[in-house]
Amino acid sequence: MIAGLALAIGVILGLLLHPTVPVGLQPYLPIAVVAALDAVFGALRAILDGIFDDKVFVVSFVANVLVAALIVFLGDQLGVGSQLSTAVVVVLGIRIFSNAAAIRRHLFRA
Amino acid sequence: MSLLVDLTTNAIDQGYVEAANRRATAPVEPGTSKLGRSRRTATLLVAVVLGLAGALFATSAVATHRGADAAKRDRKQLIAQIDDLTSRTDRARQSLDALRASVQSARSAALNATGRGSQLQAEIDQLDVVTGGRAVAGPGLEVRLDDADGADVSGSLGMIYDRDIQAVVDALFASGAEAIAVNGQRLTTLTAIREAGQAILVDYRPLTAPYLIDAIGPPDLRDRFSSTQTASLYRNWHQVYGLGFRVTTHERLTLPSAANQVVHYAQPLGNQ
Repeated sequence: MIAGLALAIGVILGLLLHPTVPVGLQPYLPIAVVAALDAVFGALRAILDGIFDDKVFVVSFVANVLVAALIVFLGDQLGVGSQLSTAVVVVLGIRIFSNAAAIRRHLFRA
Repeated sequence: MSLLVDLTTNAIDQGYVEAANRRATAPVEPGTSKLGRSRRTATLLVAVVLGLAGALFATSAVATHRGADAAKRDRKQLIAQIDDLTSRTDRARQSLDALRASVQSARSAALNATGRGSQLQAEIDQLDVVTGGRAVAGPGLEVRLDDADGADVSGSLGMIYDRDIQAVVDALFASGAEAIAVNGQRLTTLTAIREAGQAILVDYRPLTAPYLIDAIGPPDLRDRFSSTQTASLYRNWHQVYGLGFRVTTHERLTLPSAANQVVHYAQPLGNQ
Protein backbone atom coordinates (compact mmCIF):
# COMPACT_ATOMS: atom_id res chain seq x y z
CA MET A 1 0.00 0.00 0.00
CA ILE A 2 2.68 2.45 1.09
CA ALA A 3 4.86 1.22 -1.76
CA GLY A 4 2.18 1.90 -4.36
CA LEU A 5 1.53 5.30 -2.85
CA ALA A 6 5.24 6.13 -2.95
CA LEU A 7 5.41 5.09 -6.60
CA ALA A 8 2.41 7.28 -7.43
CA ILE A 9 3.88 10.22 -5.53
CA GLY A 10 7.14 9.78 -7.42
CA VAL A 11 5.32 9.80 -10.78
CA ILE A 12 3.34 12.90 -9.80
CA LEU A 13 6.48 14.70 -8.60
CA GLY A 14 8.26 13.81 -11.82
CA LEU A 15 5.33 15.11 -13.89
CA LEU A 16 4.95 18.30 -11.87
CA LEU A 17 8.57 19.27 -11.35
CA HIS A 18 9.81 18.44 -14.89
CA PRO A 19 13.30 17.66 -13.68
CA THR A 20 15.74 18.27 -16.51
CA VAL A 21 18.17 15.46 -17.12
CA PRO A 22 21.72 16.69 -17.74
CA VAL A 23 22.66 16.21 -21.39
CA GLY A 24 25.55 13.92 -20.46
CA LEU A 25 23.20 11.55 -18.63
CA GLN A 26 20.44 11.49 -21.23
CA PRO A 27 21.72 8.42 -23.13
CA TYR A 28 21.51 6.42 -19.88
CA LEU A 29 17.95 7.43 -19.02
CA PRO A 30 16.20 4.73 -21.12
CA ILE A 31 18.51 2.05 -19.74
CA ALA A 32 17.97 3.27 -16.18
CA VAL A 33 14.21 3.17 -16.78
CA VAL A 34 14.32 -0.43 -18.03
CA ALA A 35 16.53 -1.47 -15.11
CA ALA A 36 14.17 0.22 -12.64
CA LEU A 37 11.17 -1.47 -14.27
CA ASP A 38 12.96 -4.81 -13.90
CA ALA A 39 13.62 -4.19 -10.20
CA VAL A 40 10.01 -3.12 -9.58
CA PHE A 41 8.56 -6.15 -11.37
CA GLY A 42 11.03 -8.42 -9.55
CA ALA A 43 9.91 -6.95 -6.23
CA LEU A 44 6.25 -7.40 -7.10
CA ARG A 45 6.82 -11.02 -7.95
CA ALA A 46 8.85 -11.54 -4.75
CA ILE A 47 5.98 -10.08 -2.72
CA LEU A 48 3.54 -12.51 -4.37
CA ASP A 49 6.01 -15.37 -3.86
CA GLY A 50 6.15 -14.35 -0.22
CA ILE A 51 9.91 -13.90 -0.19
CA PHE A 52 10.13 -10.10 -0.50
CA ASP A 53 13.08 -8.62 1.30
CA ASP A 54 13.49 -4.87 1.65
CA LYS A 55 17.27 -4.95 1.73
CA VAL A 56 17.46 -7.05 -1.43
CA PHE A 57 15.00 -4.69 -3.13
CA VAL A 58 16.84 -1.49 -2.25
CA VAL A 59 20.23 -2.91 -3.14
CA SER A 60 19.04 -4.58 -6.35
CA PHE A 61 17.25 -1.44 -7.53
CA VAL A 62 20.20 0.88 -6.99
CA ALA A 63 22.71 -1.64 -8.30
CA ASN A 64 20.59 -2.55 -11.37
CA VAL A 65 20.23 1.06 -12.43
CA LEU A 66 23.89 1.88 -11.82
CA VAL A 67 25.26 -1.27 -13.44
CA ALA A 68 23.04 -0.90 -16.50
CA ALA A 69 24.17 2.70 -16.92
CA LEU A 70 27.79 1.67 -16.34
CA ILE A 71 27.62 -1.04 -19.01
CA VAL A 72 26.27 1.44 -21.52
CA PHE A 73 28.88 4.02 -20.50
CA LEU A 74 31.61 1.43 -20.97
CA GLY A 75 30.12 0.48 -24.34
CA ASP A 76 30.06 4.15 -25.38
CA GLN A 77 33.73 4.45 -24.54
CA LEU A 78 34.53 1.30 -26.54
CA GLY A 79 32.33 2.29 -29.50
CA VAL A 80 29.69 -0.40 -28.98
CA GLY A 81 27.32 1.69 -26.86
CA SER A 82 24.17 1.20 -28.90
CA GLN A 83 24.78 -2.55 -29.26
CA LEU A 84 25.31 -2.91 -25.50
CA SER A 85 22.17 -0.85 -24.81
CA THR A 86 20.27 -3.28 -27.01
CA ALA A 87 21.78 -6.22 -25.13
CA VAL A 88 20.82 -4.74 -21.76
CA VAL A 89 17.30 -3.96 -22.95
CA VAL A 90 16.86 -7.47 -24.38
CA VAL A 91 18.08 -9.25 -21.23
CA LEU A 92 16.12 -7.04 -18.84
CA GLY A 93 13.11 -7.15 -21.14
CA ILE A 94 13.03 -10.95 -21.09
CA ARG A 95 13.30 -10.85 -17.30
CA ILE A 96 10.49 -8.32 -17.00
CA PHE A 97 8.36 -10.52 -19.22
CA SER A 98 8.92 -13.71 -17.28
CA ASN A 99 8.38 -11.90 -13.98
CA ALA A 100 5.17 -10.43 -15.36
CA ALA A 101 4.14 -13.95 -16.40
CA ALA A 102 4.83 -15.21 -12.86
CA ILE A 103 2.80 -12.33 -11.41
CA ARG A 104 -0.03 -13.19 -13.79
CA ARG A 105 0.06 -16.83 -12.65
CA HIS A 106 -0.14 -15.66 -9.03
CA LEU A 107 -3.02 -13.28 -9.63
CA PHE A 108 -5.17 -15.24 -12.05
CA ARG A 109 -3.93 -18.78 -11.40
CA ALA A 110 -3.61 -19.18 -15.14
CA MET B 1 20.40 -21.45 -25.42
CA SER B 2 21.23 -21.88 -21.75
CA LEU B 3 21.27 -18.10 -21.29
CA LEU B 4 17.65 -17.74 -22.36
CA VAL B 5 16.55 -20.76 -20.33
CA ASP B 6 18.38 -19.38 -17.30
CA LEU B 7 16.81 -15.97 -17.83
CA THR B 8 13.29 -17.31 -17.95
CA THR B 9 13.49 -19.95 -15.23
CA ASN B 10 15.44 -17.80 -12.77
CA ALA B 11 13.73 -14.56 -13.64
CA ILE B 12 13.33 -13.72 -9.99
CA ASP B 13 16.35 -12.05 -8.50
CA GLN B 14 18.46 -14.74 -6.79
CA GLY B 15 18.89 -12.29 -3.91
CA TYR B 16 15.29 -12.77 -2.86
CA VAL B 17 15.65 -16.56 -2.88
CA GLU B 18 18.85 -16.47 -0.88
CA ALA B 19 17.46 -13.98 1.60
CA ALA B 20 14.42 -16.21 2.04
CA ASN B 21 16.68 -19.23 2.62
CA ARG B 22 18.73 -17.29 5.17
CA ARG B 23 15.57 -16.22 6.94
CA ALA B 24 14.42 -19.80 7.05
CA THR B 25 17.64 -21.01 8.65
CA ALA B 26 18.22 -18.04 10.98
CA PRO B 27 15.02 -16.20 11.70
CA VAL B 28 15.48 -12.52 12.43
CA GLU B 29 14.07 -11.06 15.55
CA PRO B 30 10.61 -9.69 15.00
CA GLY B 31 10.54 -5.91 14.71
CA THR B 32 13.88 -5.64 12.91
CA SER B 33 14.71 -6.10 9.28
CA LYS B 34 17.66 -7.20 7.23
CA LEU B 35 18.83 -3.62 7.07
CA GLY B 36 19.48 -3.85 10.75
CA ARG B 37 17.12 -1.02 11.53
CA SER B 38 13.56 -0.89 12.58
CA ARG B 39 10.79 -2.11 10.25
CA ARG B 40 9.61 1.45 9.83
CA THR B 41 12.95 2.72 8.51
CA ALA B 42 13.13 -0.17 6.08
CA THR B 43 9.64 0.56 4.77
CA LEU B 44 10.57 4.22 4.42
CA LEU B 45 13.68 3.27 2.45
CA VAL B 46 11.65 1.05 0.13
CA ALA B 47 9.14 3.88 -0.28
CA VAL B 48 11.91 6.36 -1.11
CA VAL B 49 13.41 4.02 -3.71
CA LEU B 50 9.99 3.41 -5.25
CA GLY B 51 9.38 7.16 -5.28
CA LEU B 52 12.68 7.56 -7.10
CA ALA B 53 11.61 4.89 -9.58
CA GLY B 54 8.31 6.70 -10.20
CA ALA B 55 10.12 10.00 -10.70
CA LEU B 56 12.49 8.26 -13.11
CA PHE B 57 9.61 6.87 -15.18
CA ALA B 58 7.82 10.22 -15.24
CA THR B 59 11.00 12.10 -16.17
CA SER B 60 11.71 9.71 -18.99
CA ALA B 61 8.16 9.94 -20.30
CA VAL B 62 8.17 13.74 -20.10
CA ALA B 63 11.57 13.94 -21.80
CA THR B 64 10.37 11.69 -24.64
CA HIS B 65 7.22 13.71 -25.25
CA ARG B 66 9.07 16.99 -24.99
CA GLY B 67 11.55 15.76 -27.60
CA ALA B 68 8.74 14.85 -29.96
CA ASP B 69 7.08 18.24 -29.42
CA ALA B 70 10.36 20.04 -30.04
CA ALA B 71 10.86 18.14 -33.29
CA LYS B 72 7.32 19.05 -34.41
CA ARG B 73 7.93 22.69 -33.51
CA ASP B 74 11.24 22.75 -35.38
CA ARG B 75 9.57 21.27 -38.44
CA LYS B 76 6.82 23.90 -38.35
CA GLN B 77 9.40 26.66 -37.99
CA LEU B 78 11.40 25.34 -40.93
CA ILE B 79 8.27 25.17 -43.11
CA ALA B 80 7.38 28.73 -42.12
CA GLN B 81 10.93 29.83 -42.97
CA ILE B 82 10.73 28.14 -46.37
CA ASP B 83 7.39 29.79 -47.13
CA ASP B 84 8.69 33.16 -46.00
CA LEU B 85 11.89 32.93 -48.05
CA THR B 86 10.02 31.65 -51.12
CA SER B 87 7.60 34.58 -51.02
CA ARG B 88 10.54 36.95 -50.55
CA THR B 89 12.20 35.42 -53.60
CA ASP B 90 8.95 35.88 -55.53
CA ARG B 91 8.79 39.55 -54.57
CA ALA B 92 12.43 40.08 -55.49
CA ARG B 93 11.75 38.31 -58.78
CA GLN B 94 8.85 40.65 -59.51
CA SER B 95 10.87 43.77 -58.83
CA LEU B 96 13.70 42.30 -60.93
CA ASP B 97 11.29 41.80 -63.81
CA ALA B 98 10.00 45.36 -63.47
CA LEU B 99 13.52 46.81 -63.30
CA ARG B 100 14.63 44.74 -66.27
CA ALA B 101 11.65 45.91 -68.30
CA SER B 102 12.43 49.55 -67.54
CA VAL B 103 16.10 48.99 -68.44
CA GLN B 104 15.05 47.37 -71.71
CA SER B 105 12.64 50.16 -72.62
CA ALA B 106 15.21 52.84 -71.71
CA ARG B 107 17.81 51.01 -73.80
CA SER B 108 15.56 50.62 -76.81
CA ALA B 109 14.54 54.30 -76.55
CA ALA B 110 18.21 55.30 -76.52
CA LEU B 111 19.12 52.90 -79.35
CA ASN B 112 16.19 53.74 -81.59
CA ALA B 113 17.32 57.38 -81.66
CA THR B 114 19.99 56.48 -84.24
CA GLY B 115 19.95 54.31 -87.36
CA ARG B 116 22.84 52.14 -86.21
CA GLY B 117 21.17 51.88 -82.82
CA SER B 118 17.91 50.52 -84.18
CA GLN B 119 19.92 47.87 -86.05
CA LEU B 120 21.52 46.86 -82.75
CA GLN B 121 18.12 46.85 -81.07
CA ALA B 122 16.81 44.39 -83.65
CA GLU B 123 19.86 42.20 -83.02
CA ILE B 124 19.33 42.37 -79.24
CA ASP B 125 15.65 41.43 -79.62
CA GLN B 126 16.68 38.39 -81.65
CA LEU B 127 19.31 37.34 -79.09
CA ASP B 128 16.99 37.90 -76.12
CA VAL B 129 14.63 35.28 -77.50
CA VAL B 130 17.41 32.69 -77.55
CA THR B 131 19.02 33.60 -74.23
CA GLY B 132 15.74 33.82 -72.34
CA GLY B 133 16.24 37.51 -71.71
CA ARG B 134 12.63 38.40 -72.46
CA ALA B 135 9.21 36.85 -72.45
CA VAL B 136 8.27 35.21 -75.72
CA ALA B 137 5.10 33.90 -77.36
CA GLY B 138 4.48 31.49 -80.16
CA PRO B 139 2.96 28.16 -81.19
CA GLY B 140 4.18 25.09 -79.39
CA LEU B 141 3.70 22.03 -77.25
CA GLU B 142 2.89 21.33 -73.64
CA VAL B 143 4.33 18.10 -72.26
CA ARG B 144 2.76 17.11 -68.99
CA LEU B 145 4.73 14.74 -66.75
CA ASP B 146 3.18 13.45 -63.55
CA ASP B 147 3.83 10.85 -60.88
CA ALA B 148 1.81 7.66 -61.21
CA ASP B 149 -1.13 7.37 -58.81
CA GLY B 150 0.04 6.26 -55.38
CA ALA B 151 3.71 6.55 -56.28
CA ASP B 152 4.85 8.59 -53.32
CA VAL B 153 7.63 6.32 -52.15
CA SER B 154 11.12 7.43 -53.02
CA GLY B 155 12.69 4.99 -55.46
CA SER B 156 9.29 4.02 -56.84
CA LEU B 157 9.20 3.36 -60.58
CA GLY B 158 6.17 5.59 -61.06
CA MET B 159 7.91 8.72 -59.77
CA ILE B 160 9.14 11.60 -61.93
CA TYR B 161 12.74 12.49 -61.21
CA ASP B 162 15.00 15.30 -62.34
CA ARG B 163 16.44 13.09 -65.10
CA ASP B 164 12.95 12.62 -66.60
CA ILE B 165 12.52 16.36 -66.97
CA GLN B 166 16.06 16.64 -68.32
CA ALA B 167 15.39 13.93 -70.91
CA VAL B 168 12.15 15.54 -72.12
CA VAL B 169 13.75 19.00 -72.27
CA ASP B 170 16.71 17.61 -74.22
CA ALA B 171 14.39 15.83 -76.65
CA LEU B 172 12.34 19.01 -77.15
CA PHE B 173 15.43 21.09 -77.86
CA ALA B 174 16.69 18.38 -80.22
CA SER B 175 13.31 18.48 -82.01
CA GLY B 176 13.73 22.16 -82.73
CA ALA B 177 12.21 23.95 -79.72
CA GLU B 178 13.37 27.54 -79.43
CA ALA B 179 12.22 28.39 -75.92
CA ILE B 180 11.24 26.08 -73.05
CA ALA B 181 9.79 26.69 -69.60
CA VAL B 182 9.17 24.12 -66.85
CA ASN B 183 6.25 25.05 -64.56
CA GLY B 184 6.73 28.66 -65.59
CA GLN B 185 10.52 28.68 -65.08
CA ARG B 186 12.14 29.66 -68.35
CA LEU B 187 15.22 27.66 -69.22
CA THR B 188 18.47 29.18 -70.39
CA THR B 189 21.68 27.45 -71.35
CA LEU B 190 22.76 27.80 -67.71
CA THR B 191 19.55 26.62 -66.01
CA ALA B 192 20.05 23.63 -63.73
CA ILE B 193 17.43 20.88 -63.53
CA ARG B 194 18.36 18.83 -60.54
CA GLU B 195 17.09 17.06 -57.48
CA ALA B 196 17.72 17.96 -53.84
CA GLY B 197 16.25 15.61 -51.29
CA GLN B 198 13.00 14.58 -52.91
CA ALA B 199 12.28 17.90 -54.56
CA ILE B 200 12.99 18.73 -58.19
CA LEU B 201 14.68 22.10 -58.55
CA VAL B 202 14.58 24.06 -61.78
CA ASP B 203 16.71 27.18 -61.62
CA TYR B 204 17.06 26.39 -57.87
CA ARG B 205 13.32 26.70 -57.28
CA PRO B 206 11.52 23.64 -55.91
CA LEU B 207 8.68 22.42 -58.15
CA THR B 208 5.84 20.05 -57.42
CA ALA B 209 4.05 17.61 -59.69
CA PRO B 210 2.53 17.81 -62.24
CA TYR B 211 5.41 19.15 -64.30
CA LEU B 212 4.30 21.19 -67.31
CA ILE B 213 7.02 21.61 -69.90
CA ASP B 214 6.07 24.32 -72.40
CA ALA B 215 8.07 24.54 -75.61
CA ILE B 216 7.77 27.00 -78.47
CA GLY B 217 8.97 25.70 -81.80
CA PRO B 218 8.22 24.97 -85.47
CA PRO B 219 4.85 23.56 -86.59
CA ASP B 220 6.32 20.06 -86.93
CA LEU B 221 7.68 20.16 -83.34
CA ARG B 222 5.05 17.71 -82.19
CA ASP B 223 5.81 15.15 -84.91
CA ARG B 224 9.53 15.47 -84.41
CA PHE B 225 9.24 15.18 -80.64
CA SER B 226 6.87 12.21 -80.87
CA SER B 227 9.31 10.32 -83.08
CA THR B 228 12.19 10.71 -80.59
CA GLN B 229 13.34 7.74 -78.54
CA THR B 230 12.56 9.68 -75.35
CA ALA B 231 8.92 10.19 -76.30
CA SER B 232 8.41 6.52 -77.20
CA LEU B 233 10.09 5.51 -73.91
CA TYR B 234 7.72 7.69 -71.88
CA ARG B 235 4.69 6.50 -73.87
CA ASN B 236 5.78 2.98 -72.93
CA TRP B 237 6.26 3.87 -69.23
CA HIS B 238 2.88 5.59 -69.25
CA GLN B 239 1.34 2.23 -70.15
CA VAL B 240 3.53 0.06 -67.93
CA TYR B 241 3.87 2.15 -64.75
CA GLY B 242 0.97 4.58 -65.10
CA LEU B 243 3.40 7.48 -65.32
CA GLY B 244 1.63 10.67 -66.39
CA PHE B 245 2.76 11.66 -69.91
CA ARG B 246 0.61 13.79 -72.19
CA VAL B 247 1.49 16.02 -75.11
CA THR B 248 -0.88 18.80 -76.20
CA THR B 249 -0.45 21.27 -79.04
CA HIS B 250 -1.07 24.96 -78.40
CA GLU B 251 -1.71 27.67 -80.96
CA ARG B 252 -0.07 30.23 -78.75
CA LEU B 253 2.09 29.77 -75.68
CA THR B 254 3.56 32.59 -73.61
CA LEU B 255 6.81 31.94 -71.78
CA PRO B 256 8.23 34.36 -69.19
CA SER B 257 11.77 35.65 -69.21
CA ALA B 258 14.38 33.73 -67.27
CA ALA B 259 14.90 34.80 -63.68
CA ASN B 260 18.59 34.07 -63.57
CA GLN B 261 20.78 35.57 -66.25
CA VAL B 262 23.99 36.04 -64.32
CA VAL B 263 27.15 35.08 -66.16
CA HIS B 264 30.17 34.54 -63.95
CA TYR B 265 33.11 33.79 -66.22
CA ALA B 266 32.36 34.71 -69.81
CA GLN B 267 33.31 38.33 -70.68
CA PRO B 268 31.97 40.13 -73.74
CA LEU B 269 34.68 40.93 -76.28
CA GLY B 270 35.54 44.63 -76.41
CA ASN B 271 33.56 46.86 -78.78
CA GLN B 272 34.94 46.39 -82.24
